Amino acid sequence: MKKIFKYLLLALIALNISACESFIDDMEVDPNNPGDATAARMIEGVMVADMFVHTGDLNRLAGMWMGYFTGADRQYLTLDTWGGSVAADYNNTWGNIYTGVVAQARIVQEKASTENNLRLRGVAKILEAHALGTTAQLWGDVPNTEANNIDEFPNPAYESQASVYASLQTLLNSALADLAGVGSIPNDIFYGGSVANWSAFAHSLKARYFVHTGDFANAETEAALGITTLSEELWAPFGSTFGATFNPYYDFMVYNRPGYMGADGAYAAELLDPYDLSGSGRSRSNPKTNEEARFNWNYLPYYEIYAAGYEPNYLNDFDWAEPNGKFGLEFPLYTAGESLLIIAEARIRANDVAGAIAAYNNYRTYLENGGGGFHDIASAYDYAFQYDPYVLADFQAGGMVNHGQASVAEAILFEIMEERYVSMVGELEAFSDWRRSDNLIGVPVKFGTSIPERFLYPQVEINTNPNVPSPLPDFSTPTPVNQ
Amino acid sequence: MFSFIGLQTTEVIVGDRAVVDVSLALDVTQLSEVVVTALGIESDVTKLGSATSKIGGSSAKESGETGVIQGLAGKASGVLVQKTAGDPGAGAYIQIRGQSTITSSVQPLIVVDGVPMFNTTAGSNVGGVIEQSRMNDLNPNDIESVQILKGASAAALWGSRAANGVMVITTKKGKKGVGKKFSVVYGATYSVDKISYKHDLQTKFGQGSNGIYSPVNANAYGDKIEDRSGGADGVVNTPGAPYFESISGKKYYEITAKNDRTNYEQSNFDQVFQDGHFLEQNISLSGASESSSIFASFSNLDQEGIIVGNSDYKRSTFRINGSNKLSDQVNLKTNFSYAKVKSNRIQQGSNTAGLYLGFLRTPSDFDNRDYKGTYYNAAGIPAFNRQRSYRRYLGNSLNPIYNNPGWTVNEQKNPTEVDRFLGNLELEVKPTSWLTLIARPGVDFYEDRRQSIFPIGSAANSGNGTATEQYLSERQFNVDMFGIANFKLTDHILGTGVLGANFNERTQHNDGFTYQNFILDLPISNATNATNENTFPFDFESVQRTSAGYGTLNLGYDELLYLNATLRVENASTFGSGAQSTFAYPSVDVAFNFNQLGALKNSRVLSAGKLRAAYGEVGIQPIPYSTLDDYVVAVYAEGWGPAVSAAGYSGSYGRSVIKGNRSLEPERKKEIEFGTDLSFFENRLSLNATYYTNETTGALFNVAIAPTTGYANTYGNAASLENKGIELDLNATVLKLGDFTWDINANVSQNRNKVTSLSGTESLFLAGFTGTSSRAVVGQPVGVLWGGRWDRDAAGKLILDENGFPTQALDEGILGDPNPDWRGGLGSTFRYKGFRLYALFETFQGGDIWAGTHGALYNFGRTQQSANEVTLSAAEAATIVNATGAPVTSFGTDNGNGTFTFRGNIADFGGGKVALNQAWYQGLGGGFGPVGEQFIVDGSWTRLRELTLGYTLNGEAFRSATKLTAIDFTLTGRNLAIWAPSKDIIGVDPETNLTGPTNGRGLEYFNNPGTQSFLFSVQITY
Repeated sequence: MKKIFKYLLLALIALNISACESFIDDMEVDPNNPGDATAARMIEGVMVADMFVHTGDLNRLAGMWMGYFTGADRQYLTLDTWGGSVAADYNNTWGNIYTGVVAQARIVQEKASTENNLRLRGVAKILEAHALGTTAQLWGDVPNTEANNIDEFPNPAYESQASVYASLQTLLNSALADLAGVGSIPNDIFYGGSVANWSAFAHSLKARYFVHTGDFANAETEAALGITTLSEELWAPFGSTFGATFNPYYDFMVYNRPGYMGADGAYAAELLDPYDLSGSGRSRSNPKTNEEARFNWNYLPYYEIYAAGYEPNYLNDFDWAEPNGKFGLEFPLYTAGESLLIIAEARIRANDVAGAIAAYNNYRTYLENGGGGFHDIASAYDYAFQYDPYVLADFQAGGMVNHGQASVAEAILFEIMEERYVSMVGELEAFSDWRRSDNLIGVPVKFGTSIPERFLYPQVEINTNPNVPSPLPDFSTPTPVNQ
Repeated sequence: MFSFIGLQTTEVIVGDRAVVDVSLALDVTQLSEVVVTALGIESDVTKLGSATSKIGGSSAKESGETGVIQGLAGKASGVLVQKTAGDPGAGAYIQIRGQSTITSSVQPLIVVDGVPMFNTTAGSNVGGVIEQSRMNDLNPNDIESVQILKGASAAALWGSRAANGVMVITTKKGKKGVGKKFSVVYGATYSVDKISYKHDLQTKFGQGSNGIYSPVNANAYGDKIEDRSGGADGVVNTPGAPYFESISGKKYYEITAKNDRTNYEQSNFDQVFQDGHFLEQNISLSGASESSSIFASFSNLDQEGIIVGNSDYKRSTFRINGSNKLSDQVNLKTNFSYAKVKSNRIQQGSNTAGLYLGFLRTPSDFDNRDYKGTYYNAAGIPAFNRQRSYRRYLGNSLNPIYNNPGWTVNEQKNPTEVDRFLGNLELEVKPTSWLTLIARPGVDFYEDRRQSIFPIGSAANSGNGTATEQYLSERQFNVDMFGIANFKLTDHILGTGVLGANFNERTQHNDGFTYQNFILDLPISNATNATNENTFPFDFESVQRTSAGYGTLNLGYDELLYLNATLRVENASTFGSGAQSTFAYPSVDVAFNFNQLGALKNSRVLSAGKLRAAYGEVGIQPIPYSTLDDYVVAVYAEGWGPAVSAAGYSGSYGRSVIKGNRSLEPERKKEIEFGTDLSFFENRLSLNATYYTNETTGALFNVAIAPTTGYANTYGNAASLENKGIELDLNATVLKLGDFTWDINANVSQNRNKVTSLSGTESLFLAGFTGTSSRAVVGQPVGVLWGGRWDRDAAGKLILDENGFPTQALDEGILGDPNPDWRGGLGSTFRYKGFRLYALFETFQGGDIWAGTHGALYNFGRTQQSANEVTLSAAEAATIVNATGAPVTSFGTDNGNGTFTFRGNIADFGGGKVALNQAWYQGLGGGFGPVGEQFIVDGSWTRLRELTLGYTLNGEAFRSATKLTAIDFTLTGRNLAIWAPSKDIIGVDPETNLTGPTNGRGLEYFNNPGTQSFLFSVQITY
């Protein structure tokens, strides 16, 4: 019987194989997707991922928690504070950071090396550094060298935040060297292939990360080499196609989730609002400062289109025939203003009062002369703006920008940090400022008694990577640079 | 009545049989004499060592369902059939012996006249329309029988297509009429369908928030309607004031004072719901001679849904089945059918342009009827075709936020048009008396042309208009070639052997385009109505091939003992090049008919008795093109909807986050079953019992990988799961008194499913939402409901916040199990002369359901429970606080006598009384908060699935007077009664699932309602 069965099996296999081996062969290749792509046809995808990571759900969460926005409907009522946030809220953007930016940027680096396009390789390194720096800033210890190498490291180790920052400085240095080499930067939606601008951005990222790690001397040096003019600024080039080029803020607030997020009672809106629509009495306009244009660029003054009170200004030209609000179209990723403020902050942290005031006034000149994003809306509606230079007396007790601080240096630092706060509405870098300064400017704490010190490690990483830090830090644990 | 045909020693091929007893077809004929095997070969039931269920075609037809599968519900043990919604043409979910895969389809293989047929339901999601199952393309009137091969052993000849069982459908063949060479049957059925269950909503409080009326607010937490002054609303109708003029001519102005107390609940309901109805007509001709037979039919079904407007289903079919004996050795048969299906569907589910979402959220003081018109702004400039919805009552914005239900059903269009062709040819040659050779090529093809048009002013795409048109098609070629040899080893041992080969190719195409931001405000189906920038084409194609050799051996020792063995050796294009290329699927079963033993042989008590045992292996193929890394267009998205794509710039690719897997293999399911078939008293009582246990290993799913590796997941053979269960069927003629008979048939099934490994993945998302989903979790049944929970201490006690309210747990967990503890069906037939009365009860006990709608309606203040009013003494009002810590005195109404009244409820979570009001229901206590746990309810139900009263006129006098053979009259009620403990909370027929026949179960979120039906049909046979 066993023998019969064996012969039968052999006969069947023979029947099957002889008749039809070719019937099922060569069908592995997917007709719907390519199996490879060139570095030149990948770099734009890395930029798209990078700008999405820096304008998406993380921005909204941090923005609600730190007084930029207000959760107004459904799930966003709960997410309005970190008390309503769980680990799963971080899965999507964490995934986009590592699979969308880091993995693809490293593939581009390899391919560009093979193609001897050093400049393209440099750009890929800068994009990687941009995303990883943000990641280290938000979460602390994160995978870096073991990331994107699944064969060797199926469970990438979490490196200390300090070593990640150190390696990013090295990475940016090598990117700068690459940019000085041969090659070209095709399909560049950030800078149109400008080597000079990419170099400036690399220096600026170095400056930003020196700020994160508290190395203000180096921060000032790099900031001066970085983005200091309007033409060097990096704005995410969002457009008018839903599902493809929309600013995620606009997509969220107007198309996908109208009404979920407004800015009713938002602290930043109240600081900027020269009309004091909410009656808070918090306007920061003073005899040398008029915030009308900047307020209107950032917020809608009680139009209440989708939500009550203030709303972030998501209006734009293509759908509303209005000047673009901050959240309607292009969105800043790195401005000259940030560099100028880094220089001012570095000086005051070195107790150089005169130098800090000069640097800060330099920044205010930038606002007067086209910087800050609000000039289009200002000219369209004749909104006022005014950023006259400050003098020492303004920071002294009783001065217009001394809010009870004991020393001039404290008053200057407060002013710089508050200026960073209102100039970076909805930007992730502001979330870093808030935590590294331990809420120096006194944004009202929405939940519990202290501010959130980090984002939670994402549920997907907890589920799949045994190397995720244990015990899991919660919102009360600062990342190492802020400890 | 039931009777066993004497045991035959030769097998016959489908189609050779002349007559099948029509009256028998009404019942689940577990006892029926002839069964059809996986190859479409008829066999005798006593020879089988595995359990099967056979259901007559007329049983499915008389159920009042328009689809074959839906009509099988409750009629066979171990087979779960659930319609997904009451929409016309809605698909059904079939599950045989529990879920034996995690992410692959759980739908059984459908084989019609020996050829596999697509049972696809394409495109089911948390929003969108209820999709049809392509099974519905079969005309139920054409079905002779449905044989359900439940176990792996019975199905093993289909190898990697058979893990979910096989339904072998046999269509009717030509036969002689009663005393005539042919017969003609005309049948007509008229049905009236009603909404079976509605949500119970509050009408006490109007639109607004925190007790204050607002005509643009999302909620019904406004003022108390009875406290209004009555009369017309105060409006701004001065010249120059903006207004809305509806197409009915009525003008609406800005409301400044809400005085009107009218409750619009009923008129809003009547705006979108009606009595649905259908008329089905069927005519068939059947005839046969010595050498040939022919069966031809034509049917037409025209159905209007219970939803007003664009909800209908029209199906026309024709079929020709013929056979011709060319010589004594050669027989040629052909089966051919064509179906044309046209249907309009309604948007539903989690979808701002869906029906129930806007309908149920509309406060009862808002009149939805004038949904369309012109908005005039303060300058008098008109904006035409504006939608008026409860959040935009003047139509002063393109985006209504939520659709007015009137707009959803009348203005949006979601048509589908299907052409279906199914045919095969069978050549049978008998060179010698002991050998039969068969070649059977067949093809199944359909094209489904769908459109989905949201005109300008719909809630989709922010009111700018969007449309998708797509062309889906699938084609399947299948060829079987096999020989059957009958042989005799000894006088006592007879045998049959089969050797054959199977080739199968399936191709799939899904091509189409989305275009949005319409140029002209016209809902035309034309992509030129959008700029190039706003037009997005897509295309998808796949081909998968399977080849196999197979053999079977059946040995019988007298009529006492049978041994059956099958083996399929298979190769498929979907397996990875790194995996072994050939897989074998064996099965073996034994049937021991102990009633043939000496002493029992002539027993007057025991008519038949069998013990059986079976073992089999079956599988599931991987999805095509999963073995290599792909590069895909760089698109990035987050959970809330926003997404960016390099396709919007100059175009760019990135490596896919799904890692290719070169070692992909089929999933393998191994099953053992034991059973017995007993019948007594000349078959007046029969009992079938089966116990089975199966294990699936290498179950495929997208295994999550840490994103830090650069990949998000890989499709791999990484899970295992098991099912254990029992199936009982009982058939009895309880009473037989002269012309009166009473038969019952009952079935009970119990299945226990458990996921045994997910290779480290904690929980695997199957369907649903970020908040609450249906998942696979190790140690739990597939499909468990998963989401946010209350935080509890080690003793299980709620951890409360400083105000005495429960808090959310940081991690998510299991909330419930949508799988039933047990299910059963009880059919009872009474016959008296020409009358028959049939009642079928079905029960589904112990499955949970997520009442997502109810949770969301708390948030909007539309549930009855949210509209309670509580009066407290001054002392209590000062100490009892709400979720924000505010005492009732701060938000309740001071009654002037020291007491306070507030809208909401008092609860005690263990820390003393607290006040649940809007603050709670819009936070942790509502459906948009993170705690899904509180909205998991018992989804059990028992229903009178079917009640049929029939009368047949076929007496001698009638026949000679009319020349007709018979006239049948039938009255049928479907879902006449539903008993369900939680149906008040679920608000729809609990037999529902948001994501249709997908593997994720137990989800309810603004699902379209179910139906009950009343049918009258007449059938005239010439």
